[in-house]
Amino acid sequence: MQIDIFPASEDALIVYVKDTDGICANQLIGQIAQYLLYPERDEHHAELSCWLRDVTPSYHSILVRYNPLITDHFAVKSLLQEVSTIAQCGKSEAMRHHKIPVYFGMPDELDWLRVSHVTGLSQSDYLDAFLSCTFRVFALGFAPGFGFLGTLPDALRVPRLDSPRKHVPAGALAIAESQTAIYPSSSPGGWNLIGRTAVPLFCATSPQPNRFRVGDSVSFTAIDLLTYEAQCAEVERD
Amino acid sequence: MIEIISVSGQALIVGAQRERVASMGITAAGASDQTAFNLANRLCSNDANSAGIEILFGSLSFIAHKTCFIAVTGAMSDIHKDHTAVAMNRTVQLDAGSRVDIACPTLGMRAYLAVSEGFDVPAIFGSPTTSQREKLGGVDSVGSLLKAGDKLPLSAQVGSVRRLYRMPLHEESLTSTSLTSAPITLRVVEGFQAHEFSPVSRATFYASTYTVTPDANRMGVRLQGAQIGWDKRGLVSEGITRGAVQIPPNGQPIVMMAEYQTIGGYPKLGSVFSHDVDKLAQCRPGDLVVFSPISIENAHNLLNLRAFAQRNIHLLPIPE
Repeated sequence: MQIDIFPASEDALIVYVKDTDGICANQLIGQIAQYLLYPERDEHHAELSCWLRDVTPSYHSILVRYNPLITDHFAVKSLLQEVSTIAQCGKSEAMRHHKIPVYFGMPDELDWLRVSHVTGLSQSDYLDAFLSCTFRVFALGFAPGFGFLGTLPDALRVPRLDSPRKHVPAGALAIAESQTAIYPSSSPGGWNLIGRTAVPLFCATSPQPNRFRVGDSVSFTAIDLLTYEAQCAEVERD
Repeated sequence: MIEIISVSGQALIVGAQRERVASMGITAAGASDQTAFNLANRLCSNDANSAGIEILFGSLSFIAHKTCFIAVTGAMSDIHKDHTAVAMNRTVQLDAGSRVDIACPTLGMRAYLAVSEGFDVPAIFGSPTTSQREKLGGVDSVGSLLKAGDKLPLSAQVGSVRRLYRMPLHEESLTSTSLTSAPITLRVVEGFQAHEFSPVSRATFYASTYTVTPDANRMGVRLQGAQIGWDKRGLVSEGITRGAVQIPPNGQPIVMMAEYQTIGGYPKLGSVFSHDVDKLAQCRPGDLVVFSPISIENAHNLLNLRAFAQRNIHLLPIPE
């Protein structure tokens, strides 16, 4: 795999992994992130933690922020080159599978008209194909708990809205291009909404705040309105 | 304890930037103008990032219920202690029952209030700093803005005797509020997709003057001016930084500020140098900015020189 490292700011470098297989590249990114965040697992790099401010792993890139009063971009770059090589041999963490129940009704709040128009599929044909997919969590970001899930088959892809909604409700399941995601909290958003789930994705007070981890797999099941409402009530009670 | 009597505009608790949270999708947050925020804390003999208050283009009145020391920095604001004018950029001693009124700024956008030992606000993911969009941190730990009636606890030791200081006049490295109306220069460390923009796009970016639009908040500042073209397509979402210069499809740059989202899909020319992000945080809608490239080595040196200066510039003791 080809590794390119570029500056990103006065205190950050960004590492790009080039590979024809997006999943291989994303696995390596995950391993580099683990290596940087938990250097104590490797005795040679235990000193890493003192200058590392943060890492932002994404599909095939990882942004690394360092403390420029302790180190500089030359030292960080050479270390990242080394870590990228070592991480290629590393083992992946055990992945989990998540089955997320989704209610696909509420036509007024969702974009089914647009989705059917663009794909030429009826809602039930689209759902048959969508529910048979298993997605990978490629990145966590944009907002706490927001997982970028891929990859949607070509036939199911719909471009982003021309103008983003000011308010997307929490729990909205959305699609854009080759990606799908659930909005963990209400926010503005430009993706096409296709359903709602009651499953919480982020809890600040939990030791594992995010439900998803990069590398996990996710699939969706359809539920009816009564089940959805019952699940919402249950989440509220907790 | 300090009790808020009234707030106009926005006031929120700020503290250290969060670290090691971006992989969870959580932003660093922290003060929009780090220079002013750190100075306020220094004047109170605090750690540079002790929890304080950021006031966005508004006024703040409060009563101190016990003896403490405060300092106000950043946007130029009239301050009254018990209806007597006091200066900015210096330590002010408050007695139990003192009332302080900080007026809406006459210059700049954001004023900072620090108190001796800092406000005693619980840390969320390592810092008490407010992240409004993420509903994290702040006075109630869920990202709320300050409002009248809020009672902010102070650390136990604040009564201890300490010296009063003021900022040396004309000490430029301690302030980020510009007195001139000339365009502010935002130095850019080129990076991310910089090399993928055409030479014409880059030349346009550095040769043009941009206007700060009203579409500016703690997440980002939208600028208006010459359009920057980007011919390529299909950038995959990737991590971004405070100061990142994003070019959306309309070609109008957006500079990311303290509460930047962790991952974005727009191409970026690089990141504005942090000292200049602080200056941008003080710009009002209609203010002008220009961009100028700076090497990562030069930026690195300036960061280290500033850190050295801040450790070694002596704040002037005020005779009691």
